Amino acid sequence: MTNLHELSLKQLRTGLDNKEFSSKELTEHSLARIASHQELNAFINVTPEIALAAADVADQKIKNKDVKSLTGIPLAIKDLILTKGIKTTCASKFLENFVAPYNATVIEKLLAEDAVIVGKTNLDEFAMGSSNENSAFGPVKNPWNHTKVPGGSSGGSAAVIAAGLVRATLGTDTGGSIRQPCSFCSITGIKPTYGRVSRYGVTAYASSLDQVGPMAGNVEDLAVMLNALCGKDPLDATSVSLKTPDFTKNLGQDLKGLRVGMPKEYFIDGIQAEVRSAVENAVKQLESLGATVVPVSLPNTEHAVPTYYIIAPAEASSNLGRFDGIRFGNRATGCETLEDLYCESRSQGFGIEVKRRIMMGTYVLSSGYYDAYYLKAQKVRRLVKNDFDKVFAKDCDVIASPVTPTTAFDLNSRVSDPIQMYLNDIFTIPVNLAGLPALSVPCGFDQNNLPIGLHLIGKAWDEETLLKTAFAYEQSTEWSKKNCYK
Amino acid sequence: MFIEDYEIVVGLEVHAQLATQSKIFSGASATFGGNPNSHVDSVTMGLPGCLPVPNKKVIESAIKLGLALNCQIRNYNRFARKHYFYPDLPKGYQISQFEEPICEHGHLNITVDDMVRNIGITRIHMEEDAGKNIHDSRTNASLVDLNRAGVPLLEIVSEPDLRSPEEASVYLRGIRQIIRFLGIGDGNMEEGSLRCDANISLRPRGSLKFGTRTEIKNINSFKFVEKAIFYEATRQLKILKEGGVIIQETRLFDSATETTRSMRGKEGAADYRYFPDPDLPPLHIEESWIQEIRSKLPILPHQKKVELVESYGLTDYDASLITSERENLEFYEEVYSACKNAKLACNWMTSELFGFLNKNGKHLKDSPVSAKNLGQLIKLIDQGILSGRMAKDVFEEMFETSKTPEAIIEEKGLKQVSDPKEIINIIQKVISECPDQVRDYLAGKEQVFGFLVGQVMKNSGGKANPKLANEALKSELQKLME
Amino acid sequence: MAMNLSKEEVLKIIFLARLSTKEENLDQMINDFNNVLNYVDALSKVNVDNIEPLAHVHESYNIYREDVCGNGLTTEEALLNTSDRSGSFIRVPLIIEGES
Ligand SMILES: [Mg+2]
Ligand SMILES: [Zn+2]
Repeated sequence: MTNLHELSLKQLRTGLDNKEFSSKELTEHSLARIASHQELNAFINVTPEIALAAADVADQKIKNKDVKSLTGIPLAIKDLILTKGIKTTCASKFLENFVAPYNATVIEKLLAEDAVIVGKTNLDEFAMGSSNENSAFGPVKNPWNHTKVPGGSSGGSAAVIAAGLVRATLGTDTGGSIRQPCSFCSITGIKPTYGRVSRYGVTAYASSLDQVGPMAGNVEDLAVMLNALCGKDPLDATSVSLKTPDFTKNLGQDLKGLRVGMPKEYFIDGIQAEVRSAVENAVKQLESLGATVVPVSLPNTEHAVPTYYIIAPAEASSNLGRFDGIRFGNRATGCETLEDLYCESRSQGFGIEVKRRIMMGTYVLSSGYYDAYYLKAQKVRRLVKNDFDKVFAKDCDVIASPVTPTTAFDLNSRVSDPIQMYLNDIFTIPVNLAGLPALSVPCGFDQNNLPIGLHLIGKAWDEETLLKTAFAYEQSTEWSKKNCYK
Repeated sequence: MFIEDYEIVVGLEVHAQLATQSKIFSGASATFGGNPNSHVDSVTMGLPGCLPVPNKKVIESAIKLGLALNCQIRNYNRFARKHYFYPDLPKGYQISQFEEPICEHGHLNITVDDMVRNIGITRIHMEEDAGKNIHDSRTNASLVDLNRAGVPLLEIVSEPDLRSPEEASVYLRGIRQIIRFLGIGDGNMEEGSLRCDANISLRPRGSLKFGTRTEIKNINSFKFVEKAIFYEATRQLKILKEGGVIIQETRLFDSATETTRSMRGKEGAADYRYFPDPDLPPLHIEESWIQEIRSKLPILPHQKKVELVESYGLTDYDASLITSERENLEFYEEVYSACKNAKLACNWMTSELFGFLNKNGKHLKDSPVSAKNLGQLIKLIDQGILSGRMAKDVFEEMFETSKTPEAIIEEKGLKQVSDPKEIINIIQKVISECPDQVRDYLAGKEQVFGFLVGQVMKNSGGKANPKLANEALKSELQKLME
Repeated sequence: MAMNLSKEEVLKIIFLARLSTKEENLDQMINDFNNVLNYVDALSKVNVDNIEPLAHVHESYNIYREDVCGNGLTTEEALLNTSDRSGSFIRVPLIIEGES
């Protein structure tokens, strides 16, 4: 059973259903690997009792042939997502002891598929960061190289798959937080179209940009997970009423007729040479699979990062107003006045990057500055979206680009320079501004054996084409089969 | 109204709670009261991850009120977040509407001293109520109850068109009356389901420029609207006459002393940082939706009042009384439909019934006499089955027992004698028993007639139909003359 | 238009956001704030004439629910994480009128 962690979700499904192993054995295997990989610091909270109890229930259901897509399969959840009766910390000292009294809709959906949740993964505090170093519970290490960051903010959710602790996880993506860690850890993950997956019960960072998505070891697993997560939620007014297709259905189709756009603004000087060539090779591979490659232009790309760093902090400053120390979360002691209670509770509870963004967001919304910053950013956001609309309307079906300009960087190398850190997300941020789906799929390694990801961006609601493309690419290369399991 | 050389200028901001089952953005109960923090859910508590979803009934109520107040309904309107920190505001922001409110540019006509004045309504917007803080200086703590947080509110903002405390009060009553007629809220100031802030300034008579205003908060009963405005105007006048300047500020009305006092610090720090709420897609109010709501609007008090005066022949005073409350009108209409006598229906309702209710400390909604039964009673009078006097006795019995008038008449054998034969028998008996009086009458002493009628009524045990008795007696005596 | 905010101005923002003005690394915070502000100021040169602001990316509208109760929390669930209570009330330091 030592290789259970190398099986795909599909293989796990078959093995469980054929009673080759039980959910209990699988879950124990996962818990044992989690225990022996603590140096990664990828989990904030592991819940063995809950997981084993769920595994028992799953085994009973399997025995009764009452099987759903994820029955008995261990999964881990980014600790930004609320899980009833289990601590949900958002990697913040503020919520160190917060026990959610309700489940996020995505959790309800996974439980409805009888998944086994083994724990909550580490992240940048409130999902604000690109390296997982902004966690109150310490940074996560990249399983490929422990001196490197795993990416962020869903760093824990990426690392646990790369290290073979679980086969699939949930992440969230506001400016690249699923795709960038996937790229750094050689796994695959998708940010669905904004509105495809419910945000209810997902601690909000930037409400108009946030989206939950799955992360997994391969594209087919990703499609299985996505099937479980999508759908209109009456509790989220921004989730959209659209029929959820079977995302596994088109996998295996060829790429004839597919037009792949290469935006010149995404292949610029300053990108690590190996990243650039790996992505260019990947695009050639798509061409050899039947796709045609077309050069496209997204001229407002350079404005995306500053736009994001106005809109996201503005929404964050508002969303984080509820963390006031009164009804839940950190409450400063010894405060005589209400104002002291607010300021002290928040100041003690939030880390430096969260404070930075709250300050920036407060400023850009404040009286006299709203038009110059927030309103302006919303207009530029439309320019960014219009760029995509234009090329998708006439030039191409998917866009290919690097996920990040570089491979995983050294721990502690960028924390003191926020702008350098922000620029990491230069290729992922425009996608959130435009509300589009995008995924990351492994496409190579640099000379230091650090993973590189291919970024595929799709039309709104067209995750199917993205998955089809990524699947064809993955099946025709060896990158996804490489692992760093110990 | 002028005080000395100054004119009072008032604008009101009225907050009306809506009578919905659930809250404006979630399924928690919107019912008044309850144990502290029992009408709550994740949205009310402002827990991480929770999201607002608007209540359709709130949108419909806003459109109804907008139409009733002659507003334009904005096709495109949306919610915005208003930020400030306060313990009764769980999310750190209130979901409200800012630049794009649902209703704009309306008006309400009010009548004060027989003068009709058109009061502009700047806007009506939807927003969520805050919770309640109870202050306990004994333990040096405040206690927070979030049951009220998220209860739907409509905020109705008037133009600075009101010119006296009395006008303000009449305007406020007019808003309340319409809210109640529409059935969208109960407008109860004592329970806080209707609240009012007043913006007050003075300007020299004849001046077109507004003076510096103050905003008075916490006016929590109708009684205090006029008092608060009057006090504040007087206070401002004193400052102006002494050559001072009015400071633009928020002031609190203290109902114990009937004065206002400054809420220091409130202004300088406030920066609400409004922005469109990303959790809530905008609303597009289609014309067809507006038309559908318009077609179902109940007839409004001012329209009904005109109808009562012009078609029913009621006095202006009576029509006002009946349309002052939706329940009054509904009751009246039911009485009327049972008896088809508009004036009698009005008289019996406003004098007998209201009198009895008053005496017994009851509200119309608890009236032991149902509208249908009262209408039935009036019908019996109209048909001559009961005399006015008898009807009063029957009514008293109805008030005590809630029985139908027919049942009471049956029990007590109270039916009026209207059979001409029976009446003539009684008359003949009276003529034969009172020969002296009959002779006097025949000799021209007409005042004796009343005595003879009385005898007829007495002999019938009070049951003879007085009108019939009158006529029959006259004709019998006439016969004797011939 | 890039222009650094004075310490005093940044302190106002810090208070508006209810963060502490007694932070240890206050100067670093102010410095970082100004750096980021200068960075996002790049947008000031972008021409957005006749461009409508984008607040909701899919332009959906009229999403609402019927007026029905449900999905509530009990008082105990709601106050599960409340550290200072008085019965089923939430306790806070005495609010001085006009504060906030
Ligand atoms: Mg107001
Ligand atoms: Zn208001």
